[in-house]
Amino acid sequence: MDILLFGEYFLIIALIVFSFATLRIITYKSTSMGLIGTSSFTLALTLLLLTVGTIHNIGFFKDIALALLLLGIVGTIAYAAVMRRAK
Amino acid sequence: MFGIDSGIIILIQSILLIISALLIIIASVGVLRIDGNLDNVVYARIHILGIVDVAGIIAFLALGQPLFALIYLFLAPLLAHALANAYFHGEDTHNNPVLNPNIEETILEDALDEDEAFELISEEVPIGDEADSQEDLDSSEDSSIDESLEESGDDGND
Repeated sequence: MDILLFGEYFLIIALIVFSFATLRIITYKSTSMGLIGTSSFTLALTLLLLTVGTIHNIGFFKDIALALLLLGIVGTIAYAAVMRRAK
Repeated sequence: MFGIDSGIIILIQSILLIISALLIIIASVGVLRIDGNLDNVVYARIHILGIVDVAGIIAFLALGQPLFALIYLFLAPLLAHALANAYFHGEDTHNNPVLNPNIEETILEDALDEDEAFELISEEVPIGDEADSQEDLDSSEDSSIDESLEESGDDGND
């Protein structure tokens, strides 16, 4: 087995575990914990898309991952700014 | 690439991917195992997820996507600061005196308790003979200085 493929699959497994951890964070009742979990889930999903796209040579996964990373983080920062001013 | 054998680059990529995967697993376990009843646990979770941010940047680089790594390198600290700031001004009743006006009284009571504890500790510590002899030495030095000043006729203000 190619060692690069092993590393990529190991990363996929780690990201799946991390995704469940972020889902557990999202289920806390406070809004800020939901924001933290969502931003972490965005990162996990971006890495998953990139890794799967690299393994199977799917080009548009990279575009989706880039859009997800940018919009997810910027959206989270914007919501955090609104939440800071709202109270 | 750069005159380096492609086999070595693949090996480095694999090692970086495995390191980032291990960091992500460790951070996941840490986030799940941390006690939710602790004070300031939200800041602790943000701190733990910083490990995942670094692991993500390493993984982006190992997957051959430096643009992603650069973007996330700049955005991750902003994100963490925005989240912590929003929590402090929005929901943090433990540290923010605006949301919890009783917090200053609580801090004052804690400080008073600390003073009382310090007084109790200082009372319990026995004062030895050395301290008394040191005080005697200080007083004798002062008196000798005064005597020398009187003999010279100088009042010591010059």
